[in-house]
Amino acid sequence: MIKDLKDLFSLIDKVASSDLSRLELEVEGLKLVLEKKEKEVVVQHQSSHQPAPVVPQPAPVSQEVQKEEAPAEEEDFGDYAVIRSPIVGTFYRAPAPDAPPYVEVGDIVEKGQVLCIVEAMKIMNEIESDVKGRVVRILVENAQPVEYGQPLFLIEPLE
Amino acid sequence: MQEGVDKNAFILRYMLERKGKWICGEELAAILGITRVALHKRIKRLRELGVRIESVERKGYMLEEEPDLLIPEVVKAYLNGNVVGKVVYVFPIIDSTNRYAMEIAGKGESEGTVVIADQQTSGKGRMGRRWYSPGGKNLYFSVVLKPKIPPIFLYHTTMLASICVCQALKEINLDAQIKWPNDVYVSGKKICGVLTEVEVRGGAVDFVVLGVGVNVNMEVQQLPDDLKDIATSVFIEAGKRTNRVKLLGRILSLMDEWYAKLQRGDTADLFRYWREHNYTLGKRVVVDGKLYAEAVGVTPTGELILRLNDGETIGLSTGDVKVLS
Repeated sequence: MIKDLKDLFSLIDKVASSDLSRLELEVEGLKLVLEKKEKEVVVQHQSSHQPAPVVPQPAPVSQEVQKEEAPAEEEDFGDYAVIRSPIVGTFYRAPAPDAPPYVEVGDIVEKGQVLCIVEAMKIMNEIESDVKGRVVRILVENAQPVEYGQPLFLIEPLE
Repeated sequence: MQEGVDKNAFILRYMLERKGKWICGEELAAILGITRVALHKRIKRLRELGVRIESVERKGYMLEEEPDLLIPEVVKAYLNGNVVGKVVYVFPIIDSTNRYAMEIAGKGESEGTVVIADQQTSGKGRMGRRWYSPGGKNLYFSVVLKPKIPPIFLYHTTMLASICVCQALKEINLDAQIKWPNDVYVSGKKICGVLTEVEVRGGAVDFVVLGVGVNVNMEVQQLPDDLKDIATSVFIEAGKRTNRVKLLGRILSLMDEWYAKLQRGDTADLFRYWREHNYTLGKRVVVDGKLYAEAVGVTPTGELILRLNDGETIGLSTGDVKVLS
């Protein structure tokens, strides 16, 4: 997502010209905190479906990139293929509230088959399976917020 | 691709630029690099399609009126962009322009292609909802884009769609405003909806389909009962019929300009326009009928910044926002 300093500077510019006074990003163990001094505003990503609890913010670090000391350990998924969310948004297991889910645990899915939708700002992202296999676990509840890179499905490859 | 269509669109655009004037066939044929006979055949073809072109010997050709025909030749005649509308597909009836655009984009369709339908049988809304899409009245179209932006900034593409519609409606004197995340409102009612679908592969944006529905010549009595209080149209607001194909051409031409800016990484103007013509900011809102707050801003990635009653500020990425005051 943030590949080099150019992306970083561009992000800083965007924060500077926005209504935002503070932005926290965590990508692949890299944590970025941007804060403007004049206002006291804390912004948390959230979906309206579940108001997130207020999380006390750590002491701000102005426009500085730091390696996290102890990146959160992810569960070991062994040989299963992990389908992750490519964007921040809300996870939906079905195309509509009254429609059946795209897939259930135990289903055999083809490569390219749609598994779920992740939505943010009315941008719909259909997540496809990148392997043929059996759905072993669905790691997120319907209509819950998901982060970038968050594991959504475990697939047992069949080829 | 679409070479014959493009030549006919060129002829029409040439005539549109010289509205009410006689056009010398010999001159136009020379510009096109074709014979006068070949030009005459093309004019005949345009007439068969329904374009009203007068021709008088020794005077030449004249366009009698600005055509309002939903066919690729006419759509393209109203375009003046480089990317958006390079290829145009028009369907009299289709299930969903977004569905078709996603399908062809998945098979490698180039960016800028626009899929238009006169009528949709399953026009897509958010979360399986339907976009009311009767024939002969409104605009339903989807644009394939391949923006060079990281997925975190995908909101900028959807801003693009609402900004272009808002601007085109303002040009025909409607007091249009953008409601977060991307609807266009006039007189407190929805006149345009945008649904964006995206394909992300390997952490990068593969393609984006911007689906746009604009209510143009639909009259109050043609609205279903459940939409009467919440939807409006250009006809309802302006009190007269509007040339919907000319409006479409303007929206797509504006999209071409704004998209070029986006591709250059210049989003400051995008945010400026979005803020200056915003319906949500500064208002009391209720999200999904339960969360009451004040809309105070937007983040660089598009989340609506809400100040809750207890003073806490949150960023909202998903939800139905109703403006209260």
